[in-house]
Amino acid sequence: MPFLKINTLLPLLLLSLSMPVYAQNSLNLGVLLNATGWRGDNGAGNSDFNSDKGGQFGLSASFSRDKFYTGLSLQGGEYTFDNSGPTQFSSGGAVSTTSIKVEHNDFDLLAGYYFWPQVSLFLDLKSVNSRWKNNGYEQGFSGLGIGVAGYNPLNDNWTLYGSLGFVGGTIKEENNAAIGDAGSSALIVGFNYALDGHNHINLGLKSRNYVFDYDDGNQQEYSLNGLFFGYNHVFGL
Amino acid sequence: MKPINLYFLTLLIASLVAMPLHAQSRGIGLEKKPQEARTPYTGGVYRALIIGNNVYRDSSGHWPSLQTAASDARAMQKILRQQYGFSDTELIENASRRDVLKALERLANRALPNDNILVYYAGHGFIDETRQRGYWVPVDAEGADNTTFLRNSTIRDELNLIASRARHTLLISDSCFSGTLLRQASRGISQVSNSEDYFKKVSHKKSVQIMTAGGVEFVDDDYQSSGHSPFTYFLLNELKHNDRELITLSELSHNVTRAVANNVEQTPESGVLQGAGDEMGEFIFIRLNLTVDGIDPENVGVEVNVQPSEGQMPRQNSIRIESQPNRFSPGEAVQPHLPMPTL
Repeated sequence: MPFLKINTLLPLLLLSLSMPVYAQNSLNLGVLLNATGWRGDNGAGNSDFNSDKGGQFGLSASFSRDKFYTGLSLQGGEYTFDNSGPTQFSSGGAVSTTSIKVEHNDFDLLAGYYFWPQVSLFLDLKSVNSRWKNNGYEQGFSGLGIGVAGYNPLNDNWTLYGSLGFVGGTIKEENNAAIGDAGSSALIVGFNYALDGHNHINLGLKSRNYVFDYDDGNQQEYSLNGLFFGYNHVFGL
Repeated sequence: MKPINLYFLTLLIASLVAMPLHAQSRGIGLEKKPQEARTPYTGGVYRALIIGNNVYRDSSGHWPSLQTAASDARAMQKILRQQYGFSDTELIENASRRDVLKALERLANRALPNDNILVYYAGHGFIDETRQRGYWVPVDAEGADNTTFLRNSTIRDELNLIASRARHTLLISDSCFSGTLLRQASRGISQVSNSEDYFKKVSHKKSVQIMTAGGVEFVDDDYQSSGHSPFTYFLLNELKHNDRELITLSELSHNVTRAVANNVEQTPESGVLQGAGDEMGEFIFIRLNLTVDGIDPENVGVEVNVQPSEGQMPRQNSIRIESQPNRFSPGEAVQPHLPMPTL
């Protein structure tokens, strides 16, 4: 994770875990399959691109105490572009790509609080990283985002839930050189099914949109949209 | 559609998903959620099993049907839920022997270490005078065959199990000869105090208490055509007109005993269940008082969030107005266990 220092994240995580709140402690571990496609626009006069194969696998761990929650999530996967791929807008100039594979990873460290009975606000320290496998070039951005999440129980087992948020940050290359600004937004709408008190499955739609404004005037926009399916196990503490 | 254009659509959809679906009324937000009180200083949930046996099936006529046991039970459930924050209540009318035992088993399975658990029984009781054994009589009792009854020792065993899992356990029995449950266990009225130190002390100490309609005498069924037995009538009356936010079982029992004894030939008793780990704690009732203009009181409940911090009295805690739940979810967390949101 070149753009996020673990020695910054760890104290934040420990701090959030040690906050004085009330009972109802639980640890939630989850796995996720994300059948997303990666499609986007390399900017004016450049090609659009659309992945032919790909998807993401995610792991998450969260801890909640009463109305407070915190956790981390890592999602990543490889995408194959048989035709045009996302252009590398780097400090060395733009490099158009075709027939390539690109890795895309998202790391989130967040903390949230239910300010209303069914609605929470959360802060997300997010890092996005892409790696072009033809030449090993990497770039990404990290920044602090804010989001809102909510749910509505449908019956004893099913719960409709969703979240929406935005992140802004600086695009950096692997040598840590800043080459522009980036932002992303994410929308999740899903259904959670409680198999019992500890085991849950969930499915829904996840849409992530990214906008990269490079200092040299180029702009790239893309989205990762698709269905997800996940399983979560809850440990009461 | 360009990704940037999705922002407005997604914002709209997420806002709709996140909004509570329940109507607003006169500026007060309502939501469906179990009304709930928590044990002062320890944070447990209030749960109750309430049994009312009116319709006895015995063809021999040994156990005639009662008039008020079921309405006693319903009234108890109502007042416990609406005014005392019991978020998990199970009401059983006309319970067979198996129904009672299964319900006690379910209750024991739901019990958590800081919980406050109340079991209420209204129905026929029986005493075997030669052996000095008391019984609850379920609706499927067969004549004088006491093997079809629920023996006090069985009830005490079940209560023992519940008490081993919960912080405070209370049995209220409104039946003839229910005082036999208290054999060798009477404590009488203990110290009564309104001080914070007292409530804190008895809240932390384990309690396993019993309150009964009478000693070893017959008790009345319908008190002055009130639709309630004398004991439950005065118990409900005391709970309804109690103007204190915290009241211990000892004090409640003292008031009810005096009221019953002053009006009928019956003397309620109270004490502890011997050998169940009672540490001279107290079952504490928390009175939640709330009315909302324009909303039927039947549909108004409250949740008191009691923070178990040192030196803080429950009366200082927040009260949230909520509608009556359409289902209960014992032991459920405040929020459901959903996947963590990410951006």
